[in-house]
Amino acid sequence: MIDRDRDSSKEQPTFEPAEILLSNLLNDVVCEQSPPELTNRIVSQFNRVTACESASATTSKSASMQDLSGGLFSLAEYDQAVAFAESEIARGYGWTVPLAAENAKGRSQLAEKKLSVWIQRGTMLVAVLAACVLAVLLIPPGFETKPTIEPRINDIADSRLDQSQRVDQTVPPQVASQPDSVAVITAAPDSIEKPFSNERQLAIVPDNRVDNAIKPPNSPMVVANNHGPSSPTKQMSDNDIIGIIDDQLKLLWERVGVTPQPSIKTELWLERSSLAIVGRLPTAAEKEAFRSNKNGSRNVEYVDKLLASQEFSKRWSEIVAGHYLGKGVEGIRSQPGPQLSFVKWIADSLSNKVFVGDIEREMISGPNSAATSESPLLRTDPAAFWLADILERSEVDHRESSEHLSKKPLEQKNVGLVAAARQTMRIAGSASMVCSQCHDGESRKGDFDDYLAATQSIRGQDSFWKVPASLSGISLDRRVAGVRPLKVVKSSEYFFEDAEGRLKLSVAGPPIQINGTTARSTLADWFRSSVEPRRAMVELVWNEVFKQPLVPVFGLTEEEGNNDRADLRYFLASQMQTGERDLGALLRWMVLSSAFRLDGQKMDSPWYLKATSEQIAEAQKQTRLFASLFSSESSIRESKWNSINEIANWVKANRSYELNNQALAQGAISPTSQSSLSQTSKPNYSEAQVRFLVSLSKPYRKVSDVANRLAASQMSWPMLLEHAYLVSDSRFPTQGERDESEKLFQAVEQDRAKALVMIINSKLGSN
Amino acid sequence: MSWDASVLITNHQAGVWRYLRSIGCDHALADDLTQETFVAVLRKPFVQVSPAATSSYLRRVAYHLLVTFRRRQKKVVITSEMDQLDLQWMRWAGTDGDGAELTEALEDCFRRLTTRAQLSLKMRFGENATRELIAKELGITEHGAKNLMQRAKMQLKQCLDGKLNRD
Repeated sequence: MIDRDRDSSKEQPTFEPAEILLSNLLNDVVCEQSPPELTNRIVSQFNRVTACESASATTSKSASMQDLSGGLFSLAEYDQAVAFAESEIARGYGWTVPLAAENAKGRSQLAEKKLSVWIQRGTMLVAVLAACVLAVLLIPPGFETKPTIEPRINDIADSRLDQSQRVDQTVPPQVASQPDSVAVITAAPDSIEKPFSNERQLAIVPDNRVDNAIKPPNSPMVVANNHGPSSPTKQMSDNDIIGIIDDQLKLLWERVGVTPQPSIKTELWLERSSLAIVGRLPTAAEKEAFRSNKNGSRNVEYVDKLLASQEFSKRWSEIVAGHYLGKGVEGIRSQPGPQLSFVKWIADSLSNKVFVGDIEREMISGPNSAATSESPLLRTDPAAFWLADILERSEVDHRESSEHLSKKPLEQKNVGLVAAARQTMRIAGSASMVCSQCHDGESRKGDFDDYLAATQSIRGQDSFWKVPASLSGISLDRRVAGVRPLKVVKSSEYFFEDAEGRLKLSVAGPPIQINGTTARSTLADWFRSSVEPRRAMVELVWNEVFKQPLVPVFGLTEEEGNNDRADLRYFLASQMQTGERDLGALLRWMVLSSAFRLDGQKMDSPWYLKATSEQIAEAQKQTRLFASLFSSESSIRESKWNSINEIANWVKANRSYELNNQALAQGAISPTSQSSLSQTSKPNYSEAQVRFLVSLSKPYRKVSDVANRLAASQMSWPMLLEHAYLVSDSRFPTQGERDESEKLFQAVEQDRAKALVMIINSKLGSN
Repeated sequence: MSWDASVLITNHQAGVWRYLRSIGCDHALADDLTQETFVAVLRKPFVQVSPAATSSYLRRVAYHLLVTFRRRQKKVVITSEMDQLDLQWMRWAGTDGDGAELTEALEDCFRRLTTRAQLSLKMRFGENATRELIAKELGITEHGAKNLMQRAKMQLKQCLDGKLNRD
């Protein structure tokens, strides 16, 4: 079927799969054609083929099989098609096709880069030319020269597919084996790269997207003991990992058509990396030491020095503890003792470069006594605090939600495990877990006593977990978002019954034995051994460094690089897992990447008032795709105040925030007129505080103008909302903020300007 | 034939058929290849691991049978293009989808088009009308009819992307 609206006589049509697929589908849609009922036909044909097969076995006349059965294919062709399908799926057919083909090309980018540097410098040019001439003269015909500069090896790709496999995956082998009837044009690797025509040095071949769920039916079943991806990822060097981050983002920009911002100056990078790692601007001594260091790897040395500092472990222990506990602990000094111990325990782990999987295993596999502890605050074991904390909160939840639940001891309800599962799932992939008794839409009365007998659904945009009930050995099934976000499916179709009638997973997942004594330890082991939980850590760190999630829970479109970003996240997680790397290593990869050096546009109120709609759209696109980075330090620099400390000192001295913020905003008070500046000591503010204080100098009076300007555009409400957060808080809204804003939008009867003013003001803290 | 096989056929025949239609088979060929796909698969011992795995497996068998069929007909098949179609199918229908959701989404998107756009596409794809006839029916130029249909298809594509990628 061809695309009918193309005029092939004028030019060679480009192949657009989406358009062709759409045209093909439209035929059936406009004609209201639905699939025919073919069951009887299939059954009768199957019986005919089977009968012929058995007849031929007795008479040895296999040649006439096809004619006898009346089918389209011979038995050999049947077998061939089945064998090809099995082998493809066994290799994880699905998402690897274009990217694997892409790997076949683009290995020479590094060599070209290095060569171009030499050429630019103008050195050795003569020598190279002379060598080339000499080589041409000396090398015999047919001799294949090797590249002078060895390209980096894509370990990921090589671990999945070698060169021959890549070709096999896109070109069915039967074609190659029958050259006599060349009716099939096997595509060269280059031609497969149409969607990603630009060269890249390294590419990511994900192997545990949805294709983890795709196993050939005849292959050995994946049982619950099979944790993690089937093919281990090779450990790569830090430089290669950083190169892949750059390449993956570069690929995304090229594909989407976004031009990245130029790189920032070194000094600005210094500030940016300091803020990311230790949460403060670099000191004068640090800057001077950096300047005087003429070593080519001074950036790396600077980052390593920061990572080795106590400031790093302190700052990131609070971030990580907040992540695990589900509540902010950053900057809070009056925390309960056990909680402080927990934070300190994480800080020590970070200082000692402990693998994140070990930290999580320690937390989850806390002693059983934690489940019956009276209060988490009585816990003396820092690692067990986490479990005790979530258990207590779960108990409160249950008491509040259903009175009768509290009438029985918690042990009977096994609330502990459910709570642990819920919290661990949240950690593992930002997935939420809800009881399907209510959340599946079917309110089932009675039977509530057997809390666990009801199906538990763990849902999330990014992953879907489902826990079947009434099983002695229970398993969590997990599906990772692949090409598109998954919808929640309410059936248990991702499970299957084995020959012995036991329900088993269709994919690998963490095993949980609800009634077993080793439930938590098994779950803990899975957290230690599987790459999946590392994804959440990648997301956390990326969010902190780049100021927006790598793969947001609210989902992205194809244009926003949903797949590329998911690939990158999985890649980083797998490298973290394979090398058992600590959080500092992950942070190091991100901070040393080229993306982290990109400049940021200052999308403030004056900019919004001047920018055209195209510029606004482009800036949003750039920012969304990490081609333009948020730059809090540039805001600080360009502030009308001499330094952030002056603002901070002034605010601290005057204390009356509400009154003076307005005065500040209107420019009525200049920094030089503040006599109280000298009265305060030098503050040491966190990045969040710095951001807030800088925001005080923003021109509030233009908020309504900006809101009107944005509201007058043709952008959709979600897009407007993102701009509102960009202008007011230099970041994208979180899922919760999106939900809240949607309610607000409805509450003001969808008055876009009004809603935007309220949202921007709520972020700036003034009207 | 066992009961399980019947269930397999019942559950998956529509998905295979839609897949074949979407990658370019006409009705008759889609019917034939759907039949042959199940025959090929059921000739061997079959264990259903999961509907998702089965769905993928059946699609790949159907794909290879189509390649074999066209090769036998001495027709040129560019497998890379077929792979891209296959990939696009997975993007929209999901790896485990039978295409019903995709069809429903397309129907819904189609209803959101303007009446003129709907009419033009119905004439084009339902009645196989020429561009000239469509232009005459709508009272526009032939070039205008072409643009109208292209825009309508672009809207449908964006609508599908939005519906199926942002869920």
